[in-house]
Amino acid sequence: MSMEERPARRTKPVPTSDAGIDPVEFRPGPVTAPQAPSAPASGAGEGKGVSTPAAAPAAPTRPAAAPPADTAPIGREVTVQLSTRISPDVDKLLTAAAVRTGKKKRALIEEAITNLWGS
Amino acid sequence: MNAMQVVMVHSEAGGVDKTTTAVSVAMCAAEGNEGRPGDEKHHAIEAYAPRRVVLIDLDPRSASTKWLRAQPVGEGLHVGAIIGAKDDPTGWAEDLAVPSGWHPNLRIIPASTDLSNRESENADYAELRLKAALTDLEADLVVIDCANRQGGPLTLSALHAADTLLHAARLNDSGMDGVAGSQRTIAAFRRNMAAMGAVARIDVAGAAVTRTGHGFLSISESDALDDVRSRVPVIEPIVPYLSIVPEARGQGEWYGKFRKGQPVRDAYAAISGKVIR
Repeated sequence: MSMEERPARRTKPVPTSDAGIDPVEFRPGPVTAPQAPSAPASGAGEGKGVSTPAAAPAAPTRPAAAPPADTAPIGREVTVQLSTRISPDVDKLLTAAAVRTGKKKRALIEEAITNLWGS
Repeated sequence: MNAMQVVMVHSEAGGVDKTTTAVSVAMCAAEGNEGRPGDEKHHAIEAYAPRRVVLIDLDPRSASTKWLRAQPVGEGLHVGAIIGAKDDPTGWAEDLAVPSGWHPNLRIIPASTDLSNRESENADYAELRLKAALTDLEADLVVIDCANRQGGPLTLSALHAADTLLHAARLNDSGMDGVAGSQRTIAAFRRNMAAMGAVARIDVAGAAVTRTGHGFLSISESDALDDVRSRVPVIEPIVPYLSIVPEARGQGEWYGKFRKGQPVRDAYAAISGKVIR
């Protein structure tokens, strides 16, 4: 009867994707994990992180929109207070949109403005 | 030898000698002590054999790491790799522990500023990663130098990994606040573990108390001592925090190897003899 020589090897430590990033630095987008040669499959590769040398350059024509919901910003984000009043109708619309889409009101506002006025 | 003991050194206040206590207990345990009887000039020290010790720096401030001038085994391969692990971190502590350079029995798992990035995460069961990482660690004693936090993922990680909590308290208002806050954290941890039907394995050893210099305690120091004593057992003796300690820290040295550091070392040796199994 065959018997295994020894237990299967455990995983080896790998640095986190934000290793070396000072927490006071704001990172608005996803961070690509460093590709180790024998690194096991990890959550860092969500299918979006790695760009190929032949990727067509995208000319940015608008300011960066709010990051997608599944890639949270890293570090402390710099924001400014929006001090304005809006009509009750718009407030209801904003609330309904937030409920329908699951997005935060801030994300909806930023998305609407950048889509309409982003240069 | 007993099963591995894991001691977390904690206070919710900063600047109360947590790191000094954690490093000193770790180093005294690594050295062992022949013991001595007490007399009118010296306190007694229980004899204990040297231990294989791993000191874990679990503070983004990385004070222990800086004091020992420790470097991780590789870029990003510090304690943050365990806390932020996406893979199963079982057994990672053995891979990440590096020699201290102070004593063959003492290793350290360093920290880094970017450990703070983990404090804004709330992944499921992340607080259990440190405990898993300690599996099969070649050590008799683990000492965790905790961050001064009111709860949070780092403190929770230590609470799940440790079986012993040692309060660190300087005899001042911060020391008192730190012990009081730490007690609230322990109580909340036990309460929530009980609510989940789990057992909180953490025992409170007491408080290692430090004061500036020698001689009679001032009124405020006496009041602080009374306050700490009313909350937790104070592990005698009171440690005299002498100027040799910051001097040695600035040089990356163990103060215990200098003549002027002997009173501090002996005090921590006595405390270690009562805390370690």
